[in-house]
Amino acid sequence: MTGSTTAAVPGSANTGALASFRDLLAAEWIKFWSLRSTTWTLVMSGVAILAFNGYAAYGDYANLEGFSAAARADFTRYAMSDAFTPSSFLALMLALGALGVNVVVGEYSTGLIRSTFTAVPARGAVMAAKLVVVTAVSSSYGLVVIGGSFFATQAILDRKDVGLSITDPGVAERVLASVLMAPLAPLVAMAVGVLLRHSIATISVFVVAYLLVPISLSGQTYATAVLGHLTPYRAWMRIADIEFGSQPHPWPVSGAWTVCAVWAIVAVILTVVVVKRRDH
Amino acid sequence: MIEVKQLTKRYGETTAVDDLSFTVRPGRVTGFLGPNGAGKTTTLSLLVGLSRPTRGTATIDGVPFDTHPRGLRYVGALLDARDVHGGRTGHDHLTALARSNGLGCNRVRQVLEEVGLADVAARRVGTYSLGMKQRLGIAAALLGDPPVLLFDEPLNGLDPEGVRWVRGLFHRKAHEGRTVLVSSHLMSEMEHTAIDLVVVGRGRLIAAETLVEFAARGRMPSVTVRTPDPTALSAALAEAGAKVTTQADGALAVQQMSARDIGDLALARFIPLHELSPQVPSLEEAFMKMTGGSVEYRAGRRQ
Repeated sequence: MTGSTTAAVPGSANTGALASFRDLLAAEWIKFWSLRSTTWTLVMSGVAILAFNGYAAYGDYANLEGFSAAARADFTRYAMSDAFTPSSFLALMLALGALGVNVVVGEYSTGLIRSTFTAVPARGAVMAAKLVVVTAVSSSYGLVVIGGSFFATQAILDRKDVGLSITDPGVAERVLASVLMAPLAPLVAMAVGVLLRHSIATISVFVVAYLLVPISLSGQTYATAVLGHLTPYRAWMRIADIEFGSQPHPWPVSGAWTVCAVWAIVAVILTVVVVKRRDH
Repeated sequence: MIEVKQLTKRYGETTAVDDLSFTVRPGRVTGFLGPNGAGKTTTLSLLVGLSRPTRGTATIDGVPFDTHPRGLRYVGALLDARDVHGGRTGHDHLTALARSNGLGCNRVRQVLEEVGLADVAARRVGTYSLGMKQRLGIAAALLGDPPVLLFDEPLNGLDPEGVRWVRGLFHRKAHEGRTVLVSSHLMSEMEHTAIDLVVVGRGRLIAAETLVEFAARGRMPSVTVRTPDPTALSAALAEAGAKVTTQADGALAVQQMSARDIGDLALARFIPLHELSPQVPSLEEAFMKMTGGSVEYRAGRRQ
């Protein structure tokens, strides 16, 4: 009797991998938004980022006359830096990193992961669905907050005719790099979370690898410069072209893009593969 | 139908499950019994594919559970009621689980009604008592209307009304033809719950038989007899082949003879009886006797 119950239920696993993956996406979407901290984190960090950048842009706008004539003639680098300041990079990294950690470690620390994997034994598919949801949300967030920040800051600077337009040569690519920092941070955080499964350990390792190491590596000696080039933070600064001061060991923008892509790909593979091989 | 064959799980030096084999049949509630640390939870984890066996197999309806990409329609499992995120509402928790298996919101509403959580479904799980979390876990297990149900210590934290309800639920589900496996470390919990028993200790199988058979192992059935003339009755009983011991309070404990035969014999010899009471072997006693050698952490002993 029970055997036929199982077979008779429509929409079971055989109805198509795509349809059932869509179900997993819906489930992860519900889980993501049903935690109160999600909305708060996104809203608060969005406001903080816009405020940091607006404040920086207003500072440069107010003090424009204090810049040297040479700096004013080539103001692009300052304008780009105002559009997405390193302090807003920190806020973005912490906020979206925390969301990424939450999505993974939140399940491990509560034990929910065992309920999840009992309901869906295809563990890789669960993690893939988490990755898709987090990437979609953080990319949209990046477009709105960092894209919005670009237009807002440039509007401020443009009152003294030094703002950039998104159609200026090279600007779109540099803004895109900043926007893509939004999905990259939580992807890396999720991979670290899957490996460590512990909130504090995960956040510590993530912050050290993602921000403290690149900040502390000097660009002046060859070895530390190359190590620095392997981090998303320095890659982002390279593409956005906001590295101030002398850079004795220059590297191409394409190399910086490659570094970001490798981080993203490795993070995705780790997140999907590690869960398959482990006892829960 | 659950089939466990030569199942072994080692964690480093520790052997949590050791060459365990048993079968759980549909249509009846089976108790999975053993002291703490006997390997019950490990066995259930192996059954639902959360961990992988070192050796042996654990199959449900003929296949390892994790061959199903989605599980809720095949097995409903409550492994630990605390395996939920306290920040979500009960409703959101169940909805996410249901969606992941392509089940609709109707099912969520139905199971919430069935376990009696409909009124608190909008509250965060962090505010639930352990008993309410047990009900939520049971609701999750019922979502896919599966033919096999596994419950690890489901009575923990339930009030007496909840215990009665959950027993009724197990019986109903078994009566519908499902396989129902319920673990516990307390024999008394099984007494009104299970028909079959799988008893384990230190990861090994101790017994797999009906509860009645298992109970009979506790001690030989005996009959307590009181009489004003114990000497005469003892002699008569011994003569008839019974084994008689005199207890401290003067009553006789008679083995290898039924209460009826004892009564008939006493009447034939004109010996008055003041009490004639068969002693039903207690399950608890059987359990202690069988698992006594296998308790991992015995009270009052230095580790």
